[in-house]
Amino acid sequence: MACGATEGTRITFPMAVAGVAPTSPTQTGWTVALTSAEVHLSAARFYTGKVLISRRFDPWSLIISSAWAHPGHYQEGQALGENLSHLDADLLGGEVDWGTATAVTGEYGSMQLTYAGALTLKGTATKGSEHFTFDTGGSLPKAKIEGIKFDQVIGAAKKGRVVVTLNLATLLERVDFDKAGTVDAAGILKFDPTSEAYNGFARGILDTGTYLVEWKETQ
Amino acid sequence: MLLRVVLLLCASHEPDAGVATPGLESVVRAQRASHSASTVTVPQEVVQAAPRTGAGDVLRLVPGLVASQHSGEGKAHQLFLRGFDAVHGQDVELNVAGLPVNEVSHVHALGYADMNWLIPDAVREVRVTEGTYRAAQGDFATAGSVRFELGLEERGITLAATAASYNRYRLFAGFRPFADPETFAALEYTQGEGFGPQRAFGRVSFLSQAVLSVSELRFRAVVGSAVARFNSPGVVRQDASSDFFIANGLFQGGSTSRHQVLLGVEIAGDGKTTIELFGVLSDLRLRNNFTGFLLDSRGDGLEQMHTDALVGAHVDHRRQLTTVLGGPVQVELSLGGRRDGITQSQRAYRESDGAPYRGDIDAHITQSALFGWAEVAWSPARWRLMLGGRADVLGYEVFDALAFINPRFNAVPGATRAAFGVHWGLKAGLERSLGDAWRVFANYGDGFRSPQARSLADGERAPFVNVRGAEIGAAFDRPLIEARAAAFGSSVANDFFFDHSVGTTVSLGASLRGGVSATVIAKPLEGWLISANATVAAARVVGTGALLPYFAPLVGRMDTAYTRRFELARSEAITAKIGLGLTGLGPRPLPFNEFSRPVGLVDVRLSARFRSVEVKVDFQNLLDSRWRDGEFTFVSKWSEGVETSLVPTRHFTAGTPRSVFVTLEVHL
Amino acid sequence: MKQYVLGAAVLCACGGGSGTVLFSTWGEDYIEKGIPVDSADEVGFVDGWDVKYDRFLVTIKEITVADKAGVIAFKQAEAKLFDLVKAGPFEIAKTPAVAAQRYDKVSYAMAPAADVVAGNASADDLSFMKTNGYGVYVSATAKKGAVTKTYKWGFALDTLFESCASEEFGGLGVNVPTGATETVQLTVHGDHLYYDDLQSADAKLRFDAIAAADTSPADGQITMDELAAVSLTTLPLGTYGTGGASEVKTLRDFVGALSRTLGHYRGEGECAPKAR
Repeated sequence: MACGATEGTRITFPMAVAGVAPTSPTQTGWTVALTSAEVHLSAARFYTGKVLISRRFDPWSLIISSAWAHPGHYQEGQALGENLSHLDADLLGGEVDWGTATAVTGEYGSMQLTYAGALTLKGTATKGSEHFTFDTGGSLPKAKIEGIKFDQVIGAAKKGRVVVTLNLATLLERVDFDKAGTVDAAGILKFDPTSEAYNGFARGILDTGTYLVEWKETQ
Repeated sequence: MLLRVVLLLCASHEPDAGVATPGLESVVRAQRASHSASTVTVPQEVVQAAPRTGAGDVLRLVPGLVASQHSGEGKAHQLFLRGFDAVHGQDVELNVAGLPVNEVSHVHALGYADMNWLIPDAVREVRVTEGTYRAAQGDFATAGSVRFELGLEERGITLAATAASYNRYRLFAGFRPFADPETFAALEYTQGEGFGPQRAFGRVSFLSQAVLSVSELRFRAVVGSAVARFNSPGVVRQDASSDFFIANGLFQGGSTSRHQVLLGVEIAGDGKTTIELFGVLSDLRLRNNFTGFLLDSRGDGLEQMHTDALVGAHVDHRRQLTTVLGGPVQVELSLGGRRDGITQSQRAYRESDGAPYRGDIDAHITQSALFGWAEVAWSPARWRLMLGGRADVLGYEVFDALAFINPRFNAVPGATRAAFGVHWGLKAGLERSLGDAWRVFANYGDGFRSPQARSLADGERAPFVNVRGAEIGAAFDRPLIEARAAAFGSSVANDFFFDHSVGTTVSLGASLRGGVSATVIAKPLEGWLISANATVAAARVVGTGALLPYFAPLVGRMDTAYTRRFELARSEAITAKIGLGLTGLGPRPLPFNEFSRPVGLVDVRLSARFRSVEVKVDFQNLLDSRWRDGEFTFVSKWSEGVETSLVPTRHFTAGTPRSVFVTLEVHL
Repeated sequence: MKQYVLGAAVLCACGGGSGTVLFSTWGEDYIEKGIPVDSADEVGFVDGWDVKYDRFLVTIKEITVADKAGVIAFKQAEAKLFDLVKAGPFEIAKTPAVAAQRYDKVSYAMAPAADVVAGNASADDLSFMKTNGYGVYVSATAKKGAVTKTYKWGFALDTLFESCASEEFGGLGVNVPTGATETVQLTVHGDHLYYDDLQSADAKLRFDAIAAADTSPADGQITMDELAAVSLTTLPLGTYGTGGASEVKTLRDFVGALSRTLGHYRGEGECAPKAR
């Protein structure tokens, strides 16, 4: 018979989700201490398409990789893997297991994340003499976050797992708690969906730079 | 009949001189000397030995060839030969009585070769030249060439009616007026509902050939006309199928028509000169949706149309030049060309109502190909040396009507491009007779595939896909047994893998194919004929060492038939025949290091003839095995919802389940 | 005898010869004539504005032609400055005779250059660009109804446009014909500064947010500083999406990111921009 193998092999790898809480004041000057970060995810899909624009160290310079940088030319490419299991977790409790992804070997370029409900952050925010206990509330700007950078070659020999870390500091970078709405009777500042703070929070969720997807080898 | 078989077997290695073998009825035309072990002539006895419902079954007689029909009864077969996945014909040059079958720059697949119009009863013999070692082999002959010669077996009028499983019916009428089997006319009408949803089809085909000899001239004319309409079930996802035979995607299928004529004359005399002119008008409309709603929420279905008006001509000349060291030196040369006027388009259609919603391709192509080849054969003592060369010049003119359609452009839409290219090929062969029966030989050849016209830039020197092949082998020829075995290899310099189910072309770089094939045709006893062949091959990408997916690494086929005449009272007799066909396909490599399931099929034919009436019962897939005609791995999306899996997964097309064909044939 | 000659000429990439490539640049109607309001016939601003450029200066440099293996056949000697508002196209450079074949890798850069020479730009424009260190500079007037805004923006970014390809002209790079000149136009799309998303396929041309930035002072002139004062969080969700560009927080960052997408290839063809 034919000895040998065709290109690629089917593989599986476990996935996990974690959150990194803000440790220093945000760009808007707020010191945030989170009490809960509830996330509800329904799917993660991996593609060959390389990501258009991703976060880099210094402002003004952007890494634009080898996909077209004309708006709209992030091409997903071929689907390489997926995790279709549901996840409800509080990201502040450490790394949370998120099932196993079924995939094939190949050159991974990006990941797409699908929310199955809102990402809700609760905690306190302080700036100078101002202090709020806030709740971002439960609505989502968009369910699918596309084009999250994940540049990794995964071969058959490599055993590992994929960890998706949400940088909650990046997520809150654009939020100015002064412009979130009014404090309710219970003393909670619930984000008004029409407010600038909510706008900043939503942009934070949509910012693919909030998500760090890493391949961690286990051996 | 035995005599005729003997004639064919012996004549296959006589040096070609246009001379009839003395002492025997010279009905058989002298054939081109088969200097290559892999030039196999499959005679009509073998063709008739197992059930033949269509061209696919006739193709399967070619040693090592797998023909798969994954999209209904009207689309070209998918062919695998000698380690090559020829898709719909890009690596196998097909020719019927001088009429070329492969279509150039086809919108669906390169070298698209639709053989469904060929009436199996009209096939007299199949001549297979494996590899690319002969100068006569041209475009698409990278794995080999197959030529079908036409003729009806019996003189007189033959009428046949067939009823078969799944509401399939066939009517056949054939007429052969003379002793020469080559002059005939045949008409076939077939319709059926198919063994599952969306497989209904209808086809009518007319084929006729006339041969007239006038002193030194031998005129030949071939006329054919065929129309077909067919539905196509699409492919089934392995993880989502509830029914093996179900279909995915509505509106799939298509229609084809083909009208062709060939006029030729053979002038004997000082050597032999042949002049042939031919014209083919072919139309294809095809709708396929393999991926569901993956690329567009309206549906990924593509409607492709391809119309080709082909005219061509060639002149061949063959003669003996001289004698050197006691061995004759023969030369053959040929000059010719063809011109294809092609109109092709591709549109996406909505799954909900079949209406087109996007135009992808709209092009007019004029492709002209001129060739010249020459071959010298020298046969001193027990040797035979052959050296040949070939030049093919291709010119392309393309009008791409959809280029430059863009609101930003203040331009008139449509781009014109023209390209031109030359391919040179060397062919060489060496043969040595050992004793009366044995021969050993080695061959080398350069072959090519012409590129798709739309892929060329203006002024580009047309880049062919270049193939170099070589083989060594041995042949054994005796009156009652003919056997051949060869080890072969091919290297393709700039190969590509065209996954036509999703329409993507991946450049592979260099690839290598190699293997071993063996064929036996024997008549061990009076009335008993066996033909068997097996091919083992592997195909790899040179850079990575990975196997190329989809070809079949092990192919085996056996056809056997036993005919016996039973004498009855009053000098009447019944002739009974029982035939058996066995097919085996080893597991095919699929992407991601998976393998398809092996296939084993049994076909049986029973027939009895009394005077001028014959009754035949054919069983195809007698054991009713659930086999997969085509297996593919790709991504598809047939349902919405977050849970839809989008990783590449296994898809397949169901092979025909057990079918019974009952035929009543009357010979007048 | 003929057979032996044929046999010896096996598969050679025979002949070939040489040809040249002429590089030009053009701003199309969008720069020469202006960007209209969106309508059924023309793509334009969906929020009712139209823009007319009076200057659109670009510095084009480092045009490189190389084959698939990366062997360079031509590299542009001098950076050139062009004002694309003038009726073009304009010749940038012509290669010497190079082997007639396909060259897969064509690239060029838009960046400030201290040694830039005039392509079609005036001496004043030349010294202006050198003094301010700009690679791209635009000056335009936008109108909507009775409202008129003007703006003059300079960009000092260095962007390399590589792996250029055009589907309509046969794919990657350029094919040089034998004994002839192939023209390659480095097209500049002047409407890219106004897209409302950095990543989406459905990005539209908008100007409302840019016009509204004219607040300090509200004098009809939109400056880069005024753009920097507009946080994207004040703009409606669903517009001004930034994909993965987390650093893009203001309108100035946004327009700056878009200025890296101005360079195109042979009309609608694309290159892969790389920030340097």
